Amino acid sequence: MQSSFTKKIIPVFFAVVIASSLSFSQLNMTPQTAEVSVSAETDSTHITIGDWFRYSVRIQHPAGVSILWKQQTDTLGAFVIVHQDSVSKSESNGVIAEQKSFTLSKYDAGVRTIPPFTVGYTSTGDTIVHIAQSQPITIQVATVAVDTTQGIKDIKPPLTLPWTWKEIAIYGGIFLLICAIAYLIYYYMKKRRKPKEIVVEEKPAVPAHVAALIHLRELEAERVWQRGEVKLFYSKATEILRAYFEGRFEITALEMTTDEIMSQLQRVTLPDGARKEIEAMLTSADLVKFAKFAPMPADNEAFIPRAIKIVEATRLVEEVVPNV
Amino acid sequence: MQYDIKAINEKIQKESAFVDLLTMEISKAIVGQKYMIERLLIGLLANGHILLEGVPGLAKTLAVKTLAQAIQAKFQRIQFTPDLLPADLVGTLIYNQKESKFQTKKGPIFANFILADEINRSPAKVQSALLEAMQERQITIGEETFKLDEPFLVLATQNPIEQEGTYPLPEAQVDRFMLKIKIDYPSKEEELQIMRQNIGAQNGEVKAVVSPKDILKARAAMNEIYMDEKIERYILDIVFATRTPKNYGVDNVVQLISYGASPRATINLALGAKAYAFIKRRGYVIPEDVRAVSLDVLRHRVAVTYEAEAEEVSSEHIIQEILNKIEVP
Repeated sequence: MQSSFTKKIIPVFFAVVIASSLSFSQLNMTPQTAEVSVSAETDSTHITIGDWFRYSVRIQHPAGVSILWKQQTDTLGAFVIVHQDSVSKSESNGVIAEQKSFTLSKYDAGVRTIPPFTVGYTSTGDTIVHIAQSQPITIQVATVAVDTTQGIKDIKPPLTLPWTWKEIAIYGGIFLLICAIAYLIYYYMKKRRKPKEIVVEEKPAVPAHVAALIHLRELEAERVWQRGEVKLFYSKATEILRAYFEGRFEITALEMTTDEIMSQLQRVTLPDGARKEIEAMLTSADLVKFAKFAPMPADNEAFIPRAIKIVEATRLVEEVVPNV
Repeated sequence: MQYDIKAINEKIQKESAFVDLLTMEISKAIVGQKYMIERLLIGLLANGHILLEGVPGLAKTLAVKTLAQAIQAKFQRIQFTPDLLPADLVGTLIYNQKESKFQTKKGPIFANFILADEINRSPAKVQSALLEAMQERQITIGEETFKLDEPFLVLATQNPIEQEGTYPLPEAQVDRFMLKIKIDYPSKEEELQIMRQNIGAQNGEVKAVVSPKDILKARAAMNEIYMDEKIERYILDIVFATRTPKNYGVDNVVQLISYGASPRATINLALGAKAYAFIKRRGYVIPEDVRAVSLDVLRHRVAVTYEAEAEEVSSEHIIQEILNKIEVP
């Protein structure tokens, strides 16, 4: 009785177990199916610390399957993602291949494993997300071999990169711009300075006494006071004398009053009586110019000869070196 | 206008005789400071007010007081303080209960010589009250206007140190002073005399040698002093060179002048030159007279730029540059 019951119940039990296992796998995303294959490979499995290497993931699947790539951020397991390419797709004989490559690096030594690369996928008409994984890859990260027999060396300077054409163009452009600005400033300054050059005071070609004597004789010939213009005559005559003092004694006599001129002449050596005579002439001229003083015609007549005498007595005498 | 130079010269010789007398009397109390005394006389003769600038103890107050004593004039010293009010200066109306009416109480400004000590220590309203009186030569208290006695001369002092808490005079008000005199320390010999005079019993008593009437007569005579057109043009050249220095070849001061001297400077330069000629007992003005007063007339009227201040270039330096470049007639 018992065995017949067992014989009846065993097939039912297996049927229930198979049915339940099938439905469970449908609901909970079964592991990789035979339709989708994920493979991963690296260009090297032995690297030196800090070296970069390539890690490529390749997925093959039939049409109607869409792959859900997981977004990778900074790291892939224990490896740092230096760069990641975008997904590239290709098709051959109805099989679609999707590939994505990463540039990875590792900054500590040892044996490290890149974990299996997991992708999800769905088929057309199927809402269930299936999972497929690649195989893990083990990478050996070695340190730089240190030769302990050698002494301690300095840290190497940063490597200098060769100049690129872009850099050459930028720096060359800046240099040319500076040159152009410098030239413009130079040109502008030169242009501004030009009028000043014209104003440069040139020493008269003729000595001060020669010019003074010429002007005094010209004034005498003009017969100014004889025409009744006594004030003008004395103004002109004293102006010639003051210009002479300016050239002869290097004092700004034209911008000085009589007192100031006399004070300046104290510093120079003059022949006997010349100082008194100059003062008398300038003071009497001041009286005519500013105090409406009317001198006697004889004084007017004598003024130019007196002035000539002063110029002759105080003129610069060049020393003549006798030929031996 | 016809000028008889000989007659003018004689008149000036006669009228200016008191100058030597006055100078001698002042020198009884003041040792040295000839420059300041000469300028005080210029202000007195040209009817212009004077701004004195100098450190304390240079006999500024004593000089003015002595001048007033020697002229037999009324002297008042007003110490300007931050709490001084215009009424303290000009006077006010006081209610008389007995007579049931307001009475005028005149302030210290009613004198011939006013020494406004440290004028920059009082606020603008007090300064304005004084400067208005200087300009108008009359004071209005309530509804009554009082004419100030002649001669009326205001001598204001400014201390170049201790500028904290002062009210610097605005340029427009400084312009009302005919001269701004900078007083320097006396020489060693002068200071020795000052020391002896002050510690001994030989302090000279100053007597009145001139009356205010003489001053008014001298002013009238001074107006007759002949000024040639050449001198007038020379004055104009100097003043215009402070405004447009480039036109007069003083290119190096173009960037240093913020603004030049006003027409009031022209008037005062001419008056000052005449007064200087009077002191020198001449009936005509010569370029020396103009040069002698130029600095005092112009130094407060030529404003310097920030650039000049940064380079420590003063208005005196600029004026000197101009005087050295303008051709003397």
